[in-house]
Amino acid sequence: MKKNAEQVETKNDEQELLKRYISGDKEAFQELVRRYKDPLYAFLRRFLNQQQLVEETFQETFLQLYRSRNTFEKDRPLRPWLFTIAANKARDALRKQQRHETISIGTMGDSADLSINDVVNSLTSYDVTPYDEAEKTEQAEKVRDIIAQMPENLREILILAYFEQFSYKQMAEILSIPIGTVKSRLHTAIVFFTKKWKSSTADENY
Amino acid sequence: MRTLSKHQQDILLDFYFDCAGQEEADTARQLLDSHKGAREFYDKLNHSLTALENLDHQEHASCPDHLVEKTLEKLYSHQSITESIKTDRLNQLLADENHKIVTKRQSFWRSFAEAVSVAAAIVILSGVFVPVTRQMRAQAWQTACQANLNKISQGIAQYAGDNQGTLPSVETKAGNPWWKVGSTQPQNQSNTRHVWVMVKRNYVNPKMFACPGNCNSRSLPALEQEKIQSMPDFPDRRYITYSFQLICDTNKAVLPSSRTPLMSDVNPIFEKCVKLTEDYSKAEFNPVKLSEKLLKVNSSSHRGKGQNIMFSDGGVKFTSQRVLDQNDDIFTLNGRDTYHGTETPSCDKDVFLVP
Repeated sequence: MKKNAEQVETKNDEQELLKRYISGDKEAFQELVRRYKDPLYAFLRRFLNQQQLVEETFQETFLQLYRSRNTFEKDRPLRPWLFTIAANKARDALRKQQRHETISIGTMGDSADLSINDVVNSLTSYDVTPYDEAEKTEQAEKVRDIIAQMPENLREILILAYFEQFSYKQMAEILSIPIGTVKSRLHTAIVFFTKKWKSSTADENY
Repeated sequence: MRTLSKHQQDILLDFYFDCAGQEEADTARQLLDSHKGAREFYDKLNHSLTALENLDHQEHASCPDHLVEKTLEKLYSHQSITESIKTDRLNQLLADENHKIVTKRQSFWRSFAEAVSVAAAIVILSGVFVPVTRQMRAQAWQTACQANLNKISQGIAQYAGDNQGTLPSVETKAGNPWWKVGSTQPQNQSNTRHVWVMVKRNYVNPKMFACPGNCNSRSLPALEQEKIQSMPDFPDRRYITYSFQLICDTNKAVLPSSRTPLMSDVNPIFEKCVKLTEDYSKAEFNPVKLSEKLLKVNSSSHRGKGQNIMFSDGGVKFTSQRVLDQNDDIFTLNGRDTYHGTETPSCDKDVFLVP
């Protein structure tokens, strides 16, 4: 079902690293980069889906993390903070691109028009699993298309909840929104994705 | 099949995203075990969202090494640039300091600006403090003046007690120049000669007749006791800055039984009408015609704010009113508007405090 979260080192080890990172120790920072590079890279790739943007945002995120070490509270976990920076940088990157290419990124209201129950119940053949590699590749392409079509605010919350498995509270902190908004936005994202996914698989069936 | 409520859907959703509390998680598990619709909802939700896993298909799940290297490279170059900027700035500042011409003289404009700001501060502070201290000083003088009049009042009471209820007085007659303070001529008897009796007979210290609020009486040399005995009056106007009930008939100089003004701060109407010459016997009185202003002006001893008045019952009161009971102005005579310095009241009830 869900992917496991990045394996977390022992708490003491992490605290020690954070202390050294705050004091400006480069080696400690390198270790933190090594530790969080994969989950951050995966998040950016899913969210931005453009290699150049992903690489730029990845670098900017870690640079910002280093620059703002003096404002970081060492008793708090680093991961939500890193993703807060990353989400902000990713949004900035998309807006910058939008200004250049005049492509609408769009956002969607936080309340869904349909309930999740209505949408998931409309799925008729949910037990279909692709067998061969060609089918898998085709489905991956469709999912990427749907994610690309998703408004930015829905896309980020779906990825944070599904792939990164942040709690509602952590997501509220990362996105600077109330917990109630997190829930309603997540519902909307699920409804959006499910509807699109259903319609794309229905096309395939026909 | 029972339909799922919104609340049950929310519980299942929270459970799916590992965001449910212990209680919610138990409820979700119970629902999945017992509710067919819940099971179906959960499976379909799972099926729909599992499609998201395709996002990572054929993609590099892990971060490429070159990206990490690039990031760290950028960090170090950024850091060295920042450090070199800091070092450059420091060197620049040090160089600037070394090139500065050290001089003991400050620039004219700097000194001028400092001086102006200090002067401005002094002006502002004095604007605040001077009026406050002036007011406090005036209040203190007013109180000291009241104390003087109290002492004189005690002296008068004592004198009256020793002299069958009479006021201190000397032989006099109506028409004498009551303004000629300090005259030694027997025929020129000022109104101050009566109270001088109390000084001569040690009822009151002569210092008590100088109001501290009156600028003329400050820093006066003390009078020697021997000289006092040989003098018929206060040496001059500076030694008595109070005005006393005009006595023109010694036989009528009796301490009034009813509350009557006996003495006050200097009468403001006749303060400046005496023209002094080297020969005091030739001093002249400039006739005064009452004007609207003169009818309202208060004694100068307390900045024109009012005057202390001593009454025959011993009471002393500071007031800005000159007209007291029975519509009588204590500084003027009823029905008279021109004065030559020899006028007398037409009746006993017309209080006239002079000079």
